[in-house]
Amino acid sequence: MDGELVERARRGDAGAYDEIVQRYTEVAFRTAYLVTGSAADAEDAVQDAFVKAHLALGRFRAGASFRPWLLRIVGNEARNRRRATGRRATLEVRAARLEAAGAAADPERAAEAAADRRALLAALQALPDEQRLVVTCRYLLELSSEETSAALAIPEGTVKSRLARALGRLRDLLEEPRDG
Amino acid sequence: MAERRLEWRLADLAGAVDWPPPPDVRAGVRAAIARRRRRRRLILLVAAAIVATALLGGAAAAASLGLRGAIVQQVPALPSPSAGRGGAGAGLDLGDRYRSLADAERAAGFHALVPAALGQPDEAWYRPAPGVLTLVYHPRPGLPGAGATGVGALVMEAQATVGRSSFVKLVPTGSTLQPVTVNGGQGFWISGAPHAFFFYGDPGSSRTDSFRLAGDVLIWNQGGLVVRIESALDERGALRVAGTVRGSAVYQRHEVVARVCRSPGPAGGGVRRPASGRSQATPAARCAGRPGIPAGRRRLVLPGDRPPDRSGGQDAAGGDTVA
Repeated sequence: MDGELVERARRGDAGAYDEIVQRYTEVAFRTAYLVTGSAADAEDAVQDAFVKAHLALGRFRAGASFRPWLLRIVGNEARNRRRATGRRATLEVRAARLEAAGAAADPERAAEAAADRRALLAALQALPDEQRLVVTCRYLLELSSEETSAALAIPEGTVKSRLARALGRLRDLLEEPRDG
Repeated sequence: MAERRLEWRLADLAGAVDWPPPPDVRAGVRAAIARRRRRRRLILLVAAAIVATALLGGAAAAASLGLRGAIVQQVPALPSPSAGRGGAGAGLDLGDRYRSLADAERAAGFHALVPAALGQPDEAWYRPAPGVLTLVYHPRPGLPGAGATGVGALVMEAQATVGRSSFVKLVPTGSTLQPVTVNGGQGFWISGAPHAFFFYGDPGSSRTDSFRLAGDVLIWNQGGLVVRIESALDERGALRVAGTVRGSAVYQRHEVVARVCRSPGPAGGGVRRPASGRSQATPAARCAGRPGIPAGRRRLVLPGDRPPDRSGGQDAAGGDTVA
């Protein structure tokens, strides 16, 4: 499906590229948001990334997966913006729905779940940037290892090792028992 | 079990995150693509005009200013590099990054000329169109970050064929264009005001690179390539780094020490004249007869440079011998 759209866009079909933009804006924007820590910068980065991706469509390898290819461009743009502003990448995830789920049915359990989520968010915030980005890409954005590797411009092996260290650190911060 | 519990908690959190709403960027993307297309067409027109001027109207100027396979052209003003969204400094636009220099070289189809003084690059990039291999060096002691790019040094290389103008650099008035000779190849030290550049290929398949600002640049021909070093280094520092670039195709034993031959260049046009006191210290005859250095032009040996060693096989930079 992506391949057909990309091929049409490559031939100059503006509608096809519009559809690609629409399809991938959400994941691109969230990825850029995680990297820049700013919705405004993320929007700029995503728009520039889509423009650059369009110019680079001729170099996209037919049969390859489009999403990691695009996320690599998005990640680069987002990092450029973060460097330009000198801002530290911070996770400002608003967990507005922390307490909503199930609050009416079982208030006590809902409160416990909300406390759980708050503790987890705090633990995520305490992670070093590089570890937090890997965890948030993999679990909050649900990106694959390949996509995380592309978005963060690090090898897949590094994604896995950072993830393992981050999860260990999270368990320590949350005082969860370790396996074994 | 603990692993799964933590993963479950993270998945649960993912469902509760309240992300900022994604913007609708379709109209902006369409407009930006259209703007870039218009800009590229304009750049192509400017490039064509410059090449036509150089080839037809200004053969003499091209002969004295042109690198082999490259033309350096001074213009009254540059097209605005910030015409696009985000401006020219928003990204370096170097193409694709490769895991190693060897991978980038394979993609490029040629071997990079690596300055021994800088060593292996921290990053290797290659942009297939228009075919530019870039070695990126991070800032470090002795190699400060360049203001425009934030990197320590960019070494960019492109294949240039004799007789084909494959690299054009536009230099605005106000910047200084100093003809130099680096490792036997003709080149220029371009400093002062920001300048822009682009590469393009054969007529008919031309493709321009986007303009962007650059710091001070040393550009020269070596080993069948056009090589440019962009950094915060001054002229002398850049020349010393350039002197450690090894290129077997042009490298001779007696050329292993960086030597700089300065020439007055064509009259006017903002080209800096050499410092007469220093130039007079060296016999002009030593430059005569070497490629790119017309007889009678003066040669400057920088303080600290070793005189050329025409008998031994070792150079001042560390004993490299070149086959």
